[in-house]
Amino acid sequence: MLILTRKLDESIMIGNDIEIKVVKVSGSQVHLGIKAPKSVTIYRHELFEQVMKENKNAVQAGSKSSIENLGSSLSQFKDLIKRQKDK
Amino acid sequence: MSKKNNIILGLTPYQGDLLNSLGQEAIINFPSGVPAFEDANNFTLICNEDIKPFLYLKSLEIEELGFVCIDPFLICKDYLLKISAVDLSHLQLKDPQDALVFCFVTVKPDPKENTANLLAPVIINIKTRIGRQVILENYPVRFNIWEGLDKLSEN
Repeated sequence: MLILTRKLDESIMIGNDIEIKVVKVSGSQVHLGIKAPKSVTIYRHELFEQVMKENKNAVQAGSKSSIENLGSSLSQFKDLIKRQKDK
Repeated sequence: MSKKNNIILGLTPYQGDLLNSLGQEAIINFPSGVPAFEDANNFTLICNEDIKPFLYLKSLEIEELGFVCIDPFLICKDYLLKISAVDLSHLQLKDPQDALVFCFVTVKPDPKENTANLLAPVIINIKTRIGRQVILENYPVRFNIWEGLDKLSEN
């Protein structure tokens, strides 16, 4: 990993069109300002990681045996939905 | 009356209509795949009587890759999506009425533990047939479906 040292109000460029600037530092918190083209998605890393992890869980669970589990749970689901419908 | 009957069909009426206009055999293109499966670019949505109210988003390229999905509006009445301009442009989505929304389900042996990923719903533009998993920030990654349904049935 490339490591750069920056001071407050200094920034780095990634390619020609992405700028990341240190806007504020307070204690262990760093506020970053990001200028990027509209096509670039920016996420907090832990949020993206959470989604990746859950997608993997969902796929594992989506394997054949789990689909059978799904099938066996459906009658219970249907009862619940029916109750909802009857109200 | 029809509104309630449609719940049994596995989709809220509005989304059911959208799915009908998309067509069941439609190939949906995910230009960036989905997080953790970036190479899976083409999917088809399978609606099967046997697995209602769930649907199955099946990869056309990677064997055995597929996601069980559910209509989030079926389990979370106040589900509100704020889709960023970046995501809208990737989806080429100009009219919000063209957006079909699903959430991935993590199936557990105990049906009461099945969860839906409300944090990162899948949006499908039914006009362009482009799909994308977006990240919303303010919803849980594991929303208990059973509790969601139960809560709705109490109201």
